[in-house]
Amino acid sequence: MKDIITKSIIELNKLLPKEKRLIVKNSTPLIDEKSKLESIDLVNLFVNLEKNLKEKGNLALTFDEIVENVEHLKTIGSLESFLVKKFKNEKK
Amino acid sequence: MKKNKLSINIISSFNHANFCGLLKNSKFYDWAINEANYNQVFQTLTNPREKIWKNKKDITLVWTTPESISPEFKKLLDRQPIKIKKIKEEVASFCSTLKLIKKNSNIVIIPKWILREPIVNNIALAYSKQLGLEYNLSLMNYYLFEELGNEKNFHILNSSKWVENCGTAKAYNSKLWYLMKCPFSNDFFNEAISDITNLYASIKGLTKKLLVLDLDNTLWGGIVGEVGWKKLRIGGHDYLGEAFLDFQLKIKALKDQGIVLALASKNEKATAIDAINNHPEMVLSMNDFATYRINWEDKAKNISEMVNELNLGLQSVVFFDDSSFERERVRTILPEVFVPDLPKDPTEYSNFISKLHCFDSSFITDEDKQRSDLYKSEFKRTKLKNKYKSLSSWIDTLNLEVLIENITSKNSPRTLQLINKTNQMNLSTRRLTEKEFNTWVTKKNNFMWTIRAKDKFGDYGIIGILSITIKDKIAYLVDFIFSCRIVGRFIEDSTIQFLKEFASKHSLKKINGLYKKTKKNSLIYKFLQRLNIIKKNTNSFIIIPSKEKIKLPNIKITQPKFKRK
Repeated sequence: MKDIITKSIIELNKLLPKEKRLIVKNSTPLIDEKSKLESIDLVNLFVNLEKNLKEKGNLALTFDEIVENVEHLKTIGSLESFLVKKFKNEKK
Repeated sequence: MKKNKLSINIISSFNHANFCGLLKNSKFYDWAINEANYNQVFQTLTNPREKIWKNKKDITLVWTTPESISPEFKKLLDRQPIKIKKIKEEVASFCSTLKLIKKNSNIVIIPKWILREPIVNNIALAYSKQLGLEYNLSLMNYYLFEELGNEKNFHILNSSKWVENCGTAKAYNSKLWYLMKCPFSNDFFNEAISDITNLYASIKGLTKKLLVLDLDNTLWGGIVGEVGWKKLRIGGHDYLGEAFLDFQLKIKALKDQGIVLALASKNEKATAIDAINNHPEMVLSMNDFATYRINWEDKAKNISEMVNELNLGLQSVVFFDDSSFERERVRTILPEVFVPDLPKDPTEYSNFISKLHCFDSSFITDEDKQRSDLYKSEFKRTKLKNKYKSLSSWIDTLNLEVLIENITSKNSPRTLQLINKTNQMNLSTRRLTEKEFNTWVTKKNNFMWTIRAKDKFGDYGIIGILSITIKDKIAYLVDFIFSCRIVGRFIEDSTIQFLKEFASKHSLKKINGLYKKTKKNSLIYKFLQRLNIIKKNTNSFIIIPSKEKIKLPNIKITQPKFKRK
């Protein structure tokens, strides 16, 4: 999961000016007051994530799921936990 | 390395935020981006007070989807029949609006129309005049080419190629369309950025000039020193031979468009030359190469020597070699040289070279076509020069002739090329678009000439530009430009003498000049100092026509007929 998130962030960083680029570490804020990202950047991040999940693991993530779970997506670390948990539950 | 600044206006019918982000982070230029609000195309084009028109920009990109320009075409997406005449009128109206902005930008780029999603249409109706998407999209683009084809600073880019290069599935992104009204993927935008950057380089003459080639497994299959020339794979009933033959044909075409060729090969010289001269399927001959180094020495050293010999800069060189070791060596020692990674499979060489845009040119002059010969003559001159101790006694042996000619439609492409490409021997370093150039030369008080030269070794082609503007019996020197490969041959001195004679003949009191210093043009300053025209630490100078003649060696100067405007 970490690889997929990292790839999605690298792709997002290609669109961002230097000062807004995200460092890949668990504490980096995403949907949070401290986040440097604007809504358009978050859209790009989640579109990348959806594409990479599909490509790498044939895993599905919808935009609605993201919108419904924003409280779990405050940081890169919490995003990873959310995705791991989601796909684990789906496996069961 | 510091990137050059480029300003661009972006006007589009879709959300271009991702395109702007990628452009800003692209590696070749430092882009100053001015965006119009998306889907405000007509409003932006027709409003001269719009913020983006404040200063003239290097580039304006107008990127629209067909349905945003033609409401009639939009009906097709809803499967309604349409009137072709209406589509034609709507395209014409868009193009007239586009023409309003031609003065606001040096280059206007319009990607040709493609749909904002892959075409999924009724196959049987695809080319129906009234209902066919493909038919009417092709027609719209045809009208666009017809309307804008003759506009000098308008350039239409092939956006279908960007889809092909990414693959349809990766070019579009429907999720981004529905979430933020951006129909295309970042891969697609990167293709567009690459074409825009290459187009700009080709228009501005920033493309490469010298292609240095390896021989074994680059120009032919096999190692000549091991198998002998008879067993080399070129042409014939052999798939690999055919691939090398096609590659050579592409290189020959590059030479014909003005790219200078050179060889850098680790081989026995006689063996390699024997192969080039004797293999019946060789497309390239020794005559196609301006110079060569076939020896066992370091290729980086060899390239460096050849570049000096041809009086070129390393930044204008491309090196092709199948060996990753040689490529890496040249990259490390000569970082200015462009060293692309050749594909491992030679059947991909031909396609690979077609996709490289570093040799693209927006026009090809007669000088370009003969460039290789010009450089070869230069090499012979250098050899002879080394024999003579004094410069003027060497010039005396050359039978040098300088021809000063008026501007004509035939020599204006080369003139424009010299104005826009020359850095070192350039007094003002002014740059002109074709339109600005034509306007300038037709003005009554402006005079411009080309300088051509030839000697016993051959024609140098047009190697200089001279221009003045006259006001109240005073001439102002505007352009004094020379290709640096001929500098130091008294051609530039003879041009000053011509200028003095012209001024004297037309009763002009004096010729005023202003040296505009740049990072690259100290050469012209040194020249003006040598003739005592300019004093140390000053930028302006005056040439008095009646003062004594400039001492010249044996040079014949042919002057133009005076054209009254």
